[in-house]
Amino acid sequence: MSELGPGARKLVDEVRDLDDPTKDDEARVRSALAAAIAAQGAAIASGTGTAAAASGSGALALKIALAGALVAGATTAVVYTALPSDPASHAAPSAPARVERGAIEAPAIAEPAAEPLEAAVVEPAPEPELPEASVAPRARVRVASPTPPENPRVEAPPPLEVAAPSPPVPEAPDTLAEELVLLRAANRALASDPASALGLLDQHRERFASGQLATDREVVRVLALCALGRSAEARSAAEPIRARLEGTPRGRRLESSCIAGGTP
Amino acid sequence: MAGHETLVLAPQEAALPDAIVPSEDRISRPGVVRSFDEVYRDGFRFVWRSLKRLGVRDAYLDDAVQDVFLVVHRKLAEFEGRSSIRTWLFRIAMRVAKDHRRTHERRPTTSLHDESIATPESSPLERAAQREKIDLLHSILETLDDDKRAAFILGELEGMSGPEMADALGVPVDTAYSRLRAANASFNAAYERRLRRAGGER
Repeated sequence: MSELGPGARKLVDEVRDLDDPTKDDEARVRSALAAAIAAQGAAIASGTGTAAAASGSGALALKIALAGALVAGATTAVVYTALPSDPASHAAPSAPARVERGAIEAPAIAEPAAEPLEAAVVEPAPEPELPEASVAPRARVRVASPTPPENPRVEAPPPLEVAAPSPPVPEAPDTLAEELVLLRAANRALASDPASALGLLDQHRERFASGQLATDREVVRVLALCALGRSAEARSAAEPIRARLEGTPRGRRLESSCIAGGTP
Repeated sequence: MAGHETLVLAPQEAALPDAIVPSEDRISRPGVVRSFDEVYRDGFRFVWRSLKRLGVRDAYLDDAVQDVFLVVHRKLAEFEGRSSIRTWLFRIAMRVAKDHRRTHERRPTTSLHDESIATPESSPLERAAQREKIDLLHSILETLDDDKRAAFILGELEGMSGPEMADALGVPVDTAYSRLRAANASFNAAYERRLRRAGGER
């Protein structure tokens, strides 16, 4: 085995744990993912009605299917198929309902030109080289509940569905998905075309003045203004959110922008 | 095919309660089919750092992580537990990272969320030093081809065993080991080059 040299080994050992996400990262993605899945559920519910079968089991899938069905005005039959206690709904999932990724993404994102993502997720046949334990005969065990009880000693994030406000609020996930589309587009435009980013942020402010991503919008606005050399405006825009974000990754991002040093 | 109403466990694993198993270890066991909530809870951190190491830029990490879990959400019903969830997640992450790299190649970015060093308690000086090391690691990873890069991430950074690497990479175990050997050799060479360059600049 070609081993790493001492210097390379030291680097790898020191950096190994530094690529982990922060709690803020986790919360942000959790919220966005819940909205994106809700958008998928809505698209599927309005189409084939097989969202639940394709979306897996558990409380999240059920809530997302419910949100999607409500948004799309689908029948309750869609929701019932997601109940984890109903074996019939899981025994033989129908062909997975396809969802266009573009439905939840900014137009700037191109569809993959090569084979679809699904090609990567096919489980390979067991390799003959695998140790015996990994291919040993398996026993089937019934699941007592979709979510096993948690040991308080083990730190675990809250269930994904808590990203949505208290139920039933069917409009919230749908709105969040729309907000996300605008903010993601603005964030992407920051480097190449900050003026366009500002335009997208204005659109967001018009439609979702007090939206769930209003703070994120203002952070992006500050960065866009900095990119355009409009430092004074950036500082004004940062003022209402600066104190609230202190100590957070977004706050640190603000403090490392042009509003800190006064340089454009 | 295992439906979602069942957990498929090897007999010796069935006796081990999930609650006392560290989060990421729970997705490392082959033969276990889990709910989406559990896969997300236990796999988020692994997916995040894998995508970073596979070359997804900070500005697009959120999107890439979402893409991975949207695929998981769509395909989990078909996951039979022949491999571990972790290796399955890595295969999806490789595909997503490749798409992202292709889409965003050579496009300069300003990240909204590029401060992901998970040690906010450290001093600015320490954070700068950590950032330097992370950048060095990632810049060396950039020099490896896709096969070597994936083998290095799994073998050296994630500490996966040969069979696990083989499963994640979809190759025989011997091939996984030979890729890791080649990756280590390339990594060493790139590291030494950077040291010499840094020395020359002083």
